[in-house]
Amino acid sequence: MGSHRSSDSIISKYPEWWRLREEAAEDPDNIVLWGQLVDSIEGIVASNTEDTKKSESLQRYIHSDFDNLLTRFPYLTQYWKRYVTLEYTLNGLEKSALLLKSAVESFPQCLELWVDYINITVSNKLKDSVAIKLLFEEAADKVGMQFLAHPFWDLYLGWEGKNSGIHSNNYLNIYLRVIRIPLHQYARYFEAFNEIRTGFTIKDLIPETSSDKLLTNAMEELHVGTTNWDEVDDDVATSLIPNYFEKVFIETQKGTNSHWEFESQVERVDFEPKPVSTQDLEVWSKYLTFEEAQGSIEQIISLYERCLIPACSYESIWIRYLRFLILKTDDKDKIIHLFNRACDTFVPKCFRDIRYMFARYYEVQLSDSESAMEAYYTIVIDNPAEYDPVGRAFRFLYRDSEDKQAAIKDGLSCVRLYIREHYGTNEGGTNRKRRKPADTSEPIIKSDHFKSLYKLLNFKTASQLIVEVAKIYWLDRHEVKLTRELLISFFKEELVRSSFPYWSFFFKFELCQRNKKNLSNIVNYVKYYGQLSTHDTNGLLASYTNFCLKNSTSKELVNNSREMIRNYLEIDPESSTPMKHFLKSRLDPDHNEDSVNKRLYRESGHPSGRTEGRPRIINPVDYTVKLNEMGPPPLPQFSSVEKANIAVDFIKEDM
Amino acid sequence: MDIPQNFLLAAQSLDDFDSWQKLVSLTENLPTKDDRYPVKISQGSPDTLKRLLFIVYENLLTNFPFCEQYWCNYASWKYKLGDTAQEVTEIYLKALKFLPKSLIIWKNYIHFTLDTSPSPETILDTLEQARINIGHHFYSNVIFDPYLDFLRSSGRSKEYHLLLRRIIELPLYHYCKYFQEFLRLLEKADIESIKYFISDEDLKTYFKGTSWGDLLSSDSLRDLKMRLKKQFTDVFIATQYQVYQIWPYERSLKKQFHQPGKLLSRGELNTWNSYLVYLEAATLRDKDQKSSIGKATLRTVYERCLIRTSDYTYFWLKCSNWRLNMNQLEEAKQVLLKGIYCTRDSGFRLRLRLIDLDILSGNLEDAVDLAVEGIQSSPNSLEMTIKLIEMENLKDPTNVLTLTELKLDEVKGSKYESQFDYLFREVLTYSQISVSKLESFFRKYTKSKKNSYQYLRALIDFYRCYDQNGKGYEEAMKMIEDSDEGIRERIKRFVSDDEGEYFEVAKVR
Repeated sequence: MGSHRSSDSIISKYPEWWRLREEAAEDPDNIVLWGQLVDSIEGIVASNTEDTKKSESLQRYIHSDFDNLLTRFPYLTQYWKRYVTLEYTLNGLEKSALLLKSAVESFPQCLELWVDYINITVSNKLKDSVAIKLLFEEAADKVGMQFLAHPFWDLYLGWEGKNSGIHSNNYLNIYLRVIRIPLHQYARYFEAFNEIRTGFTIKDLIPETSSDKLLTNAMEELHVGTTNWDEVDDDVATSLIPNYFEKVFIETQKGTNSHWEFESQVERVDFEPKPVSTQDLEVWSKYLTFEEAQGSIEQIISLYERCLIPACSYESIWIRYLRFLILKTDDKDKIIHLFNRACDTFVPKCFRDIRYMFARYYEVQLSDSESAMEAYYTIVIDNPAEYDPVGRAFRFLYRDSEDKQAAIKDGLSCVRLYIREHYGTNEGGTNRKRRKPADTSEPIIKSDHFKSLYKLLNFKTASQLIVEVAKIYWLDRHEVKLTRELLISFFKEELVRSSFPYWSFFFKFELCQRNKKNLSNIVNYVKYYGQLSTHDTNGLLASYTNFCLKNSTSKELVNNSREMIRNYLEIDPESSTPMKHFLKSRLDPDHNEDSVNKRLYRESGHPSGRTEGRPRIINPVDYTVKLNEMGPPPLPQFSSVEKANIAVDFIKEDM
Repeated sequence: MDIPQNFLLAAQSLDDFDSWQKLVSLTENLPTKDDRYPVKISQGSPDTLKRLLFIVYENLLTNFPFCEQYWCNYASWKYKLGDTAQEVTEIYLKALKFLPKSLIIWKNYIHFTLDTSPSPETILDTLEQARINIGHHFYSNVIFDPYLDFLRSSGRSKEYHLLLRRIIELPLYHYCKYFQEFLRLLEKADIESIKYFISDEDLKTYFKGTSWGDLLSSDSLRDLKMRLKKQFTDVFIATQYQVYQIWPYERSLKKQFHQPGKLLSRGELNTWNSYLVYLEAATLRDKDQKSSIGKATLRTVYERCLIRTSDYTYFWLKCSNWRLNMNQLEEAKQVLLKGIYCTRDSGFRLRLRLIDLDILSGNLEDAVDLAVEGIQSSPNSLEMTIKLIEMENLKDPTNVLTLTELKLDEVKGSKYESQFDYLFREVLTYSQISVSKLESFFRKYTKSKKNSYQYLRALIDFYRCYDQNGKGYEEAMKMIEDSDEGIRERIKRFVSDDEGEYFEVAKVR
């Protein structure tokens, strides 16, 4: 949050502000906190306007807070407006206009901000008319196609009317554009247009180079054979104009009506930091399909941009938009800019599909390997606990390298080096019984790209490289023996004990090879020594149980029933922990189930506390013996009676 | 006499328990003109009405066997309307066979026996049965109070002592009351009754040098009582500790009877579950299963829980697993069997497990019967079909493909076709079906242009992982390219570079 220690003393006069900005820095996605922060700043400025005006450092804090907020959430129109008002109070008109300029740069789809910006510029004559015209054109490009863009067009027409006069061609040309856009208020523009068009010639109204279908129809109806208006009789021209513009009107009306069908169904068009309703998402999707089928490319883009205001964090819509652009345009700068906008600002990092798409775009469309690699590595860095980014990065390097064997070797060297550096050589507890000694030579990574990848690996993701190489061996090269050797060579490495991809791949491989013995070895290892989540372990166990039922004889099943039943007890969510023998065995470092039983017994059903001893009678009277079948029972004997009053020992945690 | 009209009307709509209740109250009274002054049926009432009452009760109890109080009411009507005590006892025994840990039924049975049996031995025997079966219920004071009263009033002082000696070891709601009474007895004990507290052997072992004769001196007797009191106070401490531990659960379980068709709150279900888990952990170190009070308490709580939660497959399976864990396969199967007929068993969770247990205990025929019964009630159940094919494989492995084809043909064109296309994925897991047989099996359906998701996924799996040498993979990929967009997208996710779910193994239920 850009705090400057030297000026801390100034802001420390406002403890509330200080507290809120610290909290917002810690939790930048919390819009409620940001709201409180802005309220607090506005309150301070209102009560100390003069002091704030004078203090540069205070203003720096204010700017920093607003900038941070609006960089994180650029689509908050109301906060932009509040920022502008504040800036106006503190630094006057020009600075606030500059701020509006950056507002429309950050949020170019916002009609409201554009109207404010143009209004402030025009009414205070902050730019000359040429620059203002350019500004209007830029705004028309960004927001002019929006269904409710009439405030903008009114502004433009009003200004142009004053600037060039209502009889000028400039003024007319705006009308000629606007009457073709399916706007909510299209009829009003037609009415006004019909009033002014009588003052213009056919050449002004219908350029001779025009070639739209409506014009052709109108000309056919009136038997006009040319658009060289000098050759056309005045009478004919006089009938052609209303005929043609009537057709334009009907076309636009149709457009507006069909758009209205969707527009009227969308409930929220502004950005709010909360999910878009399913109903709205469905309407947007249908609306986009409709526009893609019939609209101009500008209209389609405008609609995507509008949809991506409320739904800016929805990966699927970004992907759809980018697919459309890649297919229909070749503006690679715009596409890359959009990818960056999506990945850097809007789509949370856990959504990886759009990021993979970005990488693939570099790789396939632009053949830019360096940027593609950077994109893949960024995903790996952003998702240190996920397997697939490393897998994808490896597959990219493999595709990209000319010497495939070297890529495989480097990939495996990464894993071996990782094991060597983090788990030592063959000293690990489970390593001792290794079936096949691993390659004892020093693993060397030759390629620089793999060296960079190696630096990104962690204990969770490193094993993914084994799986990737195994996939190449098995699925691409159909080398079953080699695949098995590779997988077995890592079988008892500490690294793979917690690797779900490794075990699930190995399991699937042996399942397809129909190797009963190896499947049983895998499952036996995982259920006693694996460090997978209970859910994953039980998933393997369930698959194995299912496999056994389908691949054993009745006799084998009966002989093996005890173990099969233990599998059921393990898999069922209904079973209590005391019934889960493999889990209990895994919970103890020495795989001694009994010591876990002791622990469970002492915890009394809740792991957060435990009792030192449970008082109990060790020789209770056998209740199954009838009263008249025995005399006075033996005197009771006890254990831990003296511990009955010892308080429960709770796990102490620093809160 | 004809059957009353309003009875016929009520009997037409028996879709819920409320209607049954109305029907019962209707049949318990004589038909009157305007139902304003109801008169209960009595022994002298017409036979038709009496028979009608019994039929209603019997049907109700067939449909809702967990309604404990209705069993008792039925028995009570039977007695009122002329059945012998022996006949009524049979009803109680039948109810207890189904609900062996029902406190309500035991209580009524005991009172019935006390009221009707002329033989003290029979009464004592019934009371002992109750003690053994339901004595570990937290509220079993309703059994012990009449038991102690009976012993006292019939002058069975020794048994009275011995019963209390047993009760004080049980974690009961009224544990204090019984302990006080036990101490009172000890306080009052004389040279004769002190023998009910300590055996010869213990006297010799623990109080060295003391013999029964020595106790003739009042000091020695007082001294012995003092020492015994200390010893038994420790029993009190141990029992109290256990009561404290289970009280939070018992306190939360406000209603302990079955309410047909009523959904239980999440809180209540959680309490039952954690109560069971607690007791299981607490009995982990009880070696002697037979006489362990903890195990007996646990067993009682399981049965109590199932009376309340009998609509929930979760607790039936939990109970069955608990039995399995104690190596009681037959008991586990009985629990499942009862569960199957007492719940809707949606998705055949209990039935499928019972089938598996039958297979594992070598009862393939029973397993097949269960599956056939299941498939009759739900002919389009995929799970049951898979299980049937699985069992056919155990009998004759050559039939697996034929059976699969038959089923696929049967559902062809129906709305179940795409669901049953999962069978294509199933056949891949049978190792005894050779790859070449699978190849021709798949070919047959490729020719008929099958293109559902499950089929294509199985196909691609087959050519990618099982039959890597042929050209089938490319053909399969082409079929995927030509399939619907939705299917194409789903399959491509796991076969292309973007594979995600491909190497995931089956999920846990």
